[in-house]
Amino acid sequence: MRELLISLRLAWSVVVRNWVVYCKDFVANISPTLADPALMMTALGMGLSPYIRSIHGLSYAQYLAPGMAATTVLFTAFFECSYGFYVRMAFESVFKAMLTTPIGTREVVLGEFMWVSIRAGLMAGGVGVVLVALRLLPNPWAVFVFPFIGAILAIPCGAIGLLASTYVRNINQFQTVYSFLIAPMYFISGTFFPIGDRPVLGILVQVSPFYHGVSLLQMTAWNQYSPVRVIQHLGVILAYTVLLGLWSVARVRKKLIN
Amino acid sequence: MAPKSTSAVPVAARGVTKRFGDFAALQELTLEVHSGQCAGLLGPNGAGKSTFIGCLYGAVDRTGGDLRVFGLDPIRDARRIKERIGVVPQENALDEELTVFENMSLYARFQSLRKPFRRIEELLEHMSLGHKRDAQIKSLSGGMKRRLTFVRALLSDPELLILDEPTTGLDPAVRHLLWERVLSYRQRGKTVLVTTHYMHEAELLCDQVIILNHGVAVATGSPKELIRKETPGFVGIFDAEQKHAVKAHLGPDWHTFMQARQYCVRAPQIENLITLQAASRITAIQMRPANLEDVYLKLTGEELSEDA
Repeated sequence: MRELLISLRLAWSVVVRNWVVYCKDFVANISPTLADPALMMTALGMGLSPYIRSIHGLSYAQYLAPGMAATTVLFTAFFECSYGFYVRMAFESVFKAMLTTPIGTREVVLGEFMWVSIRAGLMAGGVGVVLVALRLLPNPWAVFVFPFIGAILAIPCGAIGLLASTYVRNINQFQTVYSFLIAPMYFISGTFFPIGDRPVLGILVQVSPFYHGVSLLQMTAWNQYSPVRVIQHLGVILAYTVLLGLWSVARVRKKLIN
Repeated sequence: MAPKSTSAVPVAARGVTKRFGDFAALQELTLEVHSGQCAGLLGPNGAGKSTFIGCLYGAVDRTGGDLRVFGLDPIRDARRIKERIGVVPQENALDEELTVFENMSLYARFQSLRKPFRRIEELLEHMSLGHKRDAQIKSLSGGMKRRLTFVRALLSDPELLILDEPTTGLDPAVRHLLWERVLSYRQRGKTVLVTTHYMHEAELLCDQVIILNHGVAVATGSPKELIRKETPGFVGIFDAEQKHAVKAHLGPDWHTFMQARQYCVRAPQIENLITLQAASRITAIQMRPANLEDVYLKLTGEELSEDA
């Protein structure tokens, strides 16, 4: 127990480090995460919505809205743990110095996950506030739940990035991971069109942790709770968190310790 | 396992081996660094110095042998070890975007230090960096960054300071400042382990040196002992052009070699070299006592024979 508390405190210091560095370039860092969903809502929500008949009794803009919060989580977590982590590891040698202190590889991974989890959670909340202001959330109270869903969804999304960081041979290879893993999840996880009840896609999409996060956000935003489905979605995200989390610890250790 | 009486020894290695696939970076390395001692690991690039250093704090997992730091095994207890040591790694790895003070505050946090701000200010002054407190790291010179890395290593006032090539690439002024700081740190009864390929640095700082070559310890002892044992006497350095003229007057057990295109003669006594000059009517460029560099070049097989 005492060991765990020490680990958590050390992992927290990794979060503080990332936060201090993040603040140095706050505007540049925060711009894409806020601008992208705003543009998406303008183009697809406001632009395309009038041409599309309602989905499940929602306007297309309302349908799209929770997916934008999910997308922010996916991109925040993936890019931070792929490009961000890789730069810290390979170019800035941050961990070489960090590992001379009581921090170990376990704390590094835990700290990185805590960092993206908090950051993506706050981002999801931020997007939620904008959506409420645009009256796109049928259940405006959802804005208080968004950060929590964002925080848990961020960990499997970040873990994919972290694992990619330990497998790529150079920074350009993240593009491949993006094209074949992240982009498909982004486009085909119920974000842009209902997918759960489709014959083939509906089954395939179950393996995507992102789909389960999108579903949770949609259920909250549209006030369509079903306790069984909440548990299912949370269960899958949690399973991915444990599985990918442990795999990440092993991989990062292999990468940082000779 | 090391006997109990040595459990408090800062560093005790018995037959430590590290293999990367087929390549043996360290082979059966045995050494001890006692409390209050300054030990030097010498050897060419790739000799295994940094690998051994990494083994001490869990950055490298040894593949064989027994290793204890303060009686603890780095593979199992890296964190407890790291609470008691300070490391100056080869690469500074400072956060370039942050200021000097921000950087040190973060590292104080990594070390779980309470109220570290005064300590940081003191150490910055101690390393002549007080005026750079709020400067961004990327605006610092190489020498300043190195001094800051020393501040970082000393934050927790560690019992053992590990320096991996601490002065490589620095100008003489910074080098002397750092040597002075290491010596004053030692004066407080602390232990130092340093890797270097500057023999002058090793002679100045270390009371024990271990010369590594291809992962094997080829000699261990104090610099004076090693010089006495391996390359005793005095070295006269002559212009290579005059090699044959000098050679005709050498004593029977004198040693000759080439160094930087100069012909070197090592004789037991300085008088031998003076006699040699008179007999050959050639003045040496320089005469000096044999030093650790002579030992190093001889033992690492880097000494050039006179035919080279």
